[in-house]
Amino acid sequence: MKSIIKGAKRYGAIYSIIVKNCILNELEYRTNFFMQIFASLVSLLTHFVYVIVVYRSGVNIAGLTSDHILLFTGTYFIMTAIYAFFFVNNFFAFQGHIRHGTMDMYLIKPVSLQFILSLRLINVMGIPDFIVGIGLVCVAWSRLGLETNAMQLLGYAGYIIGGGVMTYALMMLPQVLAFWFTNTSSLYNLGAQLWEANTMPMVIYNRMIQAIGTFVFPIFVVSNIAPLYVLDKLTITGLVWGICAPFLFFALVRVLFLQGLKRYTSASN
Amino acid sequence: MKKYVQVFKLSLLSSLEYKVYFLFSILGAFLPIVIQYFMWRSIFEASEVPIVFGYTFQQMFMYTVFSAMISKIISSGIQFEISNDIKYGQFSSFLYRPASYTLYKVSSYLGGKAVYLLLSFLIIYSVLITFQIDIATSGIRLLVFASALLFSFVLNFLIYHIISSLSFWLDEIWYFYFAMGFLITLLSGGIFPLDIFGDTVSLFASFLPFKYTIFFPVNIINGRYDMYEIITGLSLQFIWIVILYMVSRICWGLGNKKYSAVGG
Repeated sequence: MKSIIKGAKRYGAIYSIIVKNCILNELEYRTNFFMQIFASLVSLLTHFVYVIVVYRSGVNIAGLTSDHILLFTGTYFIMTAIYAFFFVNNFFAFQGHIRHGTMDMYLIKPVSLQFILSLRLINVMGIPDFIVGIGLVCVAWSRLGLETNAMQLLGYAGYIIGGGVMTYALMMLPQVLAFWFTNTSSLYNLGAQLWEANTMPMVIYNRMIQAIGTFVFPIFVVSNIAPLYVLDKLTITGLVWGICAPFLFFALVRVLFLQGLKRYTSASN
Repeated sequence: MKKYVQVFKLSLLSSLEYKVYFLFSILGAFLPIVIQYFMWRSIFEASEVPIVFGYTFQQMFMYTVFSAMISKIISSGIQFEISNDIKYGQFSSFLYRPASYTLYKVSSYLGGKAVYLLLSFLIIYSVLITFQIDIATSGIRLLVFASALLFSFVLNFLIYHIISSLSFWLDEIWYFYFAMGFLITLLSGGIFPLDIFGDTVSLFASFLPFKYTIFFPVNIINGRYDMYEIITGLSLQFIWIVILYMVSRICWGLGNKKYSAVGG
């Protein structure tokens, strides 16, 4: 237990240095920094039009009012922020390391290879998504008159963290496959398209899509479980699956990463 | 002309080289359609009237399918290529080549898109036949749609050509391109029909060239425009092409003077 705490502290310290360095690096090129924020805000707008359309239609879709949809959209923005801030730049670079053999220089570092390859870059585009997402969730929470007690807040936060782990696992999966297929950019693009499925709550889809998106390729676990929990619409299966699935898929990615690493050949380097 | 045909051929072969990537990009184009299909189905099922925002479910679904297809057809990604050429100095080699840089890019783009275009037309035609939309499949309608699509492509190309010329002044511009891409898609009606956002947005959009790239051709094939509106729209497309062509020439000329062959 003591060694786990020590390890966590060490990785925490390493990660805080990574974040500090990345932010300083971003701030060095201010025009680029503000361009990223601008791009993020415009992207948010293009996703927010879905909520505008639902509000303007004035109907409850699949038993959800416009305020319910707002809660789901806000959660989706928070998860997009987590994906963008922590992972997207790292995943984008991952297959390049395999293809060009630049993974060598990370192999010799005295830290977990998967840790450094997954988290060494941040993307400031996640910041506006996070702020807007939190804002939308607060507005929806208040309009829906949801209870604000420790159970609700902890449950929501817990499922958000679970969603973050699931995000890592699902979006890392195509990257890890690069050990076998070298060029997985098409899979990466497909993953990015699947991510958009969370723009709307999963209840709008038919039963088959819901089942596939929950249990086979659990993209809906990312941003649907947390709002369903606070709305008290989560079944026992959903409650348990929402806790277990992120760990299961994280373990799957870890196993694939270790297996794939054995195939790494330092090509081109 | 022969050299541009050669560029076209090379790009065509190059696009066929990555078959899996190609298949996934086709598949990827369908995912937004799936999301919107279920969203609109839920809205129409919950609505007490068969017409929402002035569209029937069939019209709205058709709009979703065609806008996704047309966005893919007319999108070129030219801005990223131009930006890279300028940033890393490859643009220099075009300054002494006996070929036009812009025509080279157009030929390359058309070669890369040829198979995609063919498949898209087959899909559009299959959808029209399956849903028995005879209004759009009649000879004249299909002909004006094809003309509008050609104008859309030119218009979209010019819009991005103008934006691309900013690369002469700014080195790091990718995020700006992303932002503009999102904004242009939204204002073109590439996500939802522009008229569902109300009269103010619709009026604002009508003063911009973007709606003539997606919203206008989709509504031709969707059967929402009569022949008078189609002719007016085609004329406006043409006028915007002339205006944007002149703007792009000015921007490109100014940019060329600024070019410093950094990285070349």
